[in-house]
Formats: sequence, C-alpha cells, structure tokens
Amino acid sequence: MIPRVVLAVSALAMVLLAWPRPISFAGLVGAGALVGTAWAVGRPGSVAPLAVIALAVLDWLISVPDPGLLRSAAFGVAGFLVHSAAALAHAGPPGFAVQPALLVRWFARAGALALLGVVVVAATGPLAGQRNSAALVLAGLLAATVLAALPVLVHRRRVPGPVRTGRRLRP
Amino acid sequence: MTGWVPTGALFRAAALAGGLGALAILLRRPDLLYLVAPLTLGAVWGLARTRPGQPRVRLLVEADVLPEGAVSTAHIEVEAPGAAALAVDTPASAWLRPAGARDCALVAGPSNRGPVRVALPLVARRWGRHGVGPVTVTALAADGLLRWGPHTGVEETVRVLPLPDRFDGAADVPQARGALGVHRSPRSGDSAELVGIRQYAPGDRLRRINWRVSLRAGALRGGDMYVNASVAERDAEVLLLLDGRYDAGASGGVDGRSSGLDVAVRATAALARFYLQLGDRVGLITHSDSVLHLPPAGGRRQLTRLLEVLLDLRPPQVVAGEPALVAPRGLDPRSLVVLLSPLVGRTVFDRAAAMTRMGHPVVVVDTLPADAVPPVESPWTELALRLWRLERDTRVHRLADLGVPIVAWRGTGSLDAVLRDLGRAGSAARVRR
Repeated sequence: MIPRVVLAVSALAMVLLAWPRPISFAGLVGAGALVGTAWAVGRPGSVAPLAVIALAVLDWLISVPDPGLLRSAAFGVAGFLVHSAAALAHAGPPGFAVQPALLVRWFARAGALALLGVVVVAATGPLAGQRNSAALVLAGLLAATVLAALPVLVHRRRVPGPVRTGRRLRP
Repeated sequence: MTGWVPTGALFRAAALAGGLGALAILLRRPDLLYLVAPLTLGAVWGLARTRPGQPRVRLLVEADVLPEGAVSTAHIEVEAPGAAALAVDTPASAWLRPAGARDCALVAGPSNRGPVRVALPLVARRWGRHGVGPVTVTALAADGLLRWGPHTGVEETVRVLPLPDRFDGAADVPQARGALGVHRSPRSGDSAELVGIRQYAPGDRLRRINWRVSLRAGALRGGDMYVNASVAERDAEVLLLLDGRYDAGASGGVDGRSSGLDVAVRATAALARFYLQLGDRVGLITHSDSVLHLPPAGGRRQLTRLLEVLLDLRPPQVVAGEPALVAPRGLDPRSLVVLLSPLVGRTVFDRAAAMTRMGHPVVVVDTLPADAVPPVESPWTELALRLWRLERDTRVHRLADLGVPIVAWRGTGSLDAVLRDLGRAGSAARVRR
C-alpha cells in the first residue's frame, strides 16, 4: 500500500507545485491530473502514471512561466517519484505486505537518482548562457548520446528466453 | 517459463525522457530537464548495470503431516540474482492460514548472491488435505524497468490428521473374537486376568492351585483343592461405519465450532487409535461422495491407512433424494459395529436396525451438533426444523427400542457405559425380534 501512497502524494505535489488558478485551462488540466492520480493508484501498471506526469507537466508549462531553481528541482523530484513508486506498486496488488527494507532501499535509490539529476542539470545550467562554449557542446553531445543509448538498451533487454533445466531424455 | 521483459515503466521513462527533452528544447524550458535527467540517468544506469539471471523458486514445508492444532512454517526460497524486488504470492488453504495472515509479500531482492527466503506461518486448523501454493513470483530489476513473471510454480500438500480428541475407554468389547489380545473372553483360559477361585478339576495345572485357600479348606485332611480361575484374553474386530453423506452445521476448525462431519471424523480417528493400540483389528467403511472400504486389520500401518481414508472425506452434493447407505458385506457376526452418523434421513435407521437384527453388536454415535441449524430461507424454516427434529426423535426412540444404544460423542469414555451394557446383553440369552 505504501508505494501507492507515495505515488499519490508525489502526484499531488506535482499539481500543487504548478499551483494553477482554479478557473482556468490550467486548473482544468490540474483537475485532470488529480483524476488521473486516482486511476494511477488503482492501476499503476497502466498508462495512468504517464498520463498523470504528462498532465502535470502541461499544467506546469501553462501556470509557471518562470520557475526558480528550487521549485523546478522539487517538481522534477516529485515527477521521478511518481514514476518510481508506480514501477514498484505494479509488482503486486494493494494487499501486499511490503518489507520495510525494500521501501528504504527502493526510495533511497530513487531519491539519490533524482538528486543526481538535479545536480547534473544545475551544474550544466550556467553553460546555457554562454555562446561558442566547448563545455556546452560537450554536455549537449553527452545528453544526446545518453538519449540515443536508451532505445538501444531497451531493445537489447528483450532477450533472455527460457532456461532448460534437468536432464535431456534419450529416445 | 518466460524471461525478463521490459515493463511499462521502461516505456514510460523512454517516452517522458524523449518527449520532455524535445519540449525543453522547442519551448526553451530548461526547467523540464530536472525531470528528464533522473529518468534518463535511472534508465541508463539501471539497464547498463543490471544483468538479472533466471530466477528459481523452491517451496519447503517444514512438516507435511500435522495433527490438528499444530503449527508449521512454509519457506519460499527464491534465487533471483540481480533482482531489486520480489513479489511472492503464496495462497494457502483457509484451514492452514493463521487469522489475519497475508499470503503475499513484496520483499527486497538478494543483496548478495544468496537466495531470498520468505516464511509463511501455517496453523493446521482442520483435518484434511490442504494445499500451500502454487507460489506466484514476480521479480523486478533495474528499478522496475524489467520484470520476470508472474510465474506460477511449485505447490505442496499438507495432510492434517484428525487426532485432537482422545478416547480412553475402559469397557471391553461385547464379543471378543481372536485368540490373542487384551479383551476378556467369556471363556476360561490361561491368562493373568483373575476372575475367581474354583474347585480343582482334572486337567488343571499344578501351578494354578491356590494353596492358601486349599489349606484353609482342609486339603491336607482330604478336603477339596482349589485353583485360580482366569479367563482367556482375546482381541476383537471393530468396524467403524462413518456416515458422511450429510454435513450438519458449520466448521470453525479445531479451535472453533465443529460440524457433524468434524465430530464424526475426529471420533472415528480416536476410536480407531484406541482399539488399534489395544491390539484389535479395526476396519472402516465411509459413505460420503464415494464409498470407501478399508478391511479390518491391526497395527500402526492400519491407523495410517485409516487416517488417509478419512482425509479424503467430502460430503456429496445432494440434489434430490437420499444418498444410499450400502450394507457392509462379509462382516464378521461378532464384530462390534460403531456407526457414526448425524442420523439424518431414513436409510441410516433402517441400516442400523438391520445389522442389529442380524446379530451384530451395534453402537450408534450421534454426531449431529446441538447447535446445528439450517440457514433461515423462509418463514417456514423454523417450523420445518421442529417437525424434522420430532420425526428424528421418533426414529431414534424406535431404534433404541430395538436395543441399539445411541450415544452422543463426548470424547473420553463416551462408549464405556454402552459397551458394558452390550457385553451384559451379549452374555444373556438372546431373543431375536
């Protein structure tokens, strides 16, 4: 149950960080994100978590034209927690007893990855204003390489088939 | 068996990283990169670093034969190198699960090369064969981006023996049969069971002479000699006839209420164990969804066989009419027949009466629980129940008039008074009605 609670709280945090005006298109999108959250809590293995994050990002883009560093970082961490909690919650039904050690390990790793991402983006941020910077080109190339590597890794992971065990019977 | 497959989380990470990265560039919103960066780093790091192996699942039950009320543990052992989390679902029979226990758990994957062990407590709450499993395991790797399973595999059966009721009888069986055993026979013979002192007769052994009594009687002055009289010890044949065609009342397990079948099965097990420990031969005929016949035999193996037969008892699905109660064939006339029945229907009364008329000593054990009532389905249910009880009482009285003792099972010493009466009746002149 706890992974689903983390999912719901993180999704709520994303909507609250955008803080849309209630009577507006952004407010409607935020409400849609909240409805999607309920759907994602019920079915974390479906496209619901993706829809929630997408709607929250749309809400964010409309409502927050010029965010500060802390708010952006918090939004990123909350979004990644929605993704990570949904991945864990998809492993079993809500009635599963979750081992505390698993929760600690899983969310500590997710938090560490989110913080690492924030540090990387924050560190490359000052480069964005510089023209003809070699460091900016290098960071851009690195990012492009990582993004290109992702589909390759996804493709390679579709591999292992069944493992044959036991003795083969002779005719 | 399937291998590791990408999950929705991997496609979500890829879609969000690609889509939001493009949006960040097109809309000039670098703040979106705070979400893109951990998604991308997590996916690349997880997939590049993790090489999960093929999981293997084992189920070990500490004891697969338990008496009712005993406690055991099932261990699920999962070898899943590289897995970050394991969802282990082990459904167990409701008669094996402790109250409030969950049969599913989400546990951390192995931190080293060793297997992950999940313990599932078991409490044997009711007799029968109960299943543990099949175990369903789902493994997650690379932060949930890869999944193995759900794979449903191994299962075990736990046999719960119906042995909580102890029966400690003291009375002899009415008509002992075999040449060896512990029951007193009406015939005189060599044994340590002293029944009195009688006058010496030709053929008596010298060592049986009671010198003290003989001297007092003046044996040295030409008076009579006296010897110790004893009776022969014989074993008996007991046939347990279990009527499991109807189950009355609801079962709450060993620590709750007992249904009619519970009482009958536990009483049968207790009686069988008692008589087999005495060295008697015990047979069993059960009438439930099928008729099972275990011929009379003695020894510990017979008890094991008998308990195995009891474990498979299931009341049949009665659609219409009364299921038949087959007459036992080839029954020794001197066998003690113990009929365990809730006394529902008409056939059981007819069968008990017929066996009594054939000369068998028959004891009927009433296994209908006092608090067994049918579900109230209409305003007429209560009235119908009262009428049924009156009709049943009438039949019970008719059977008792034929000389068939009917007792309710109360455990220790339930049958003692009945067996004593039957023994006396057996030694008296028989009048067949």
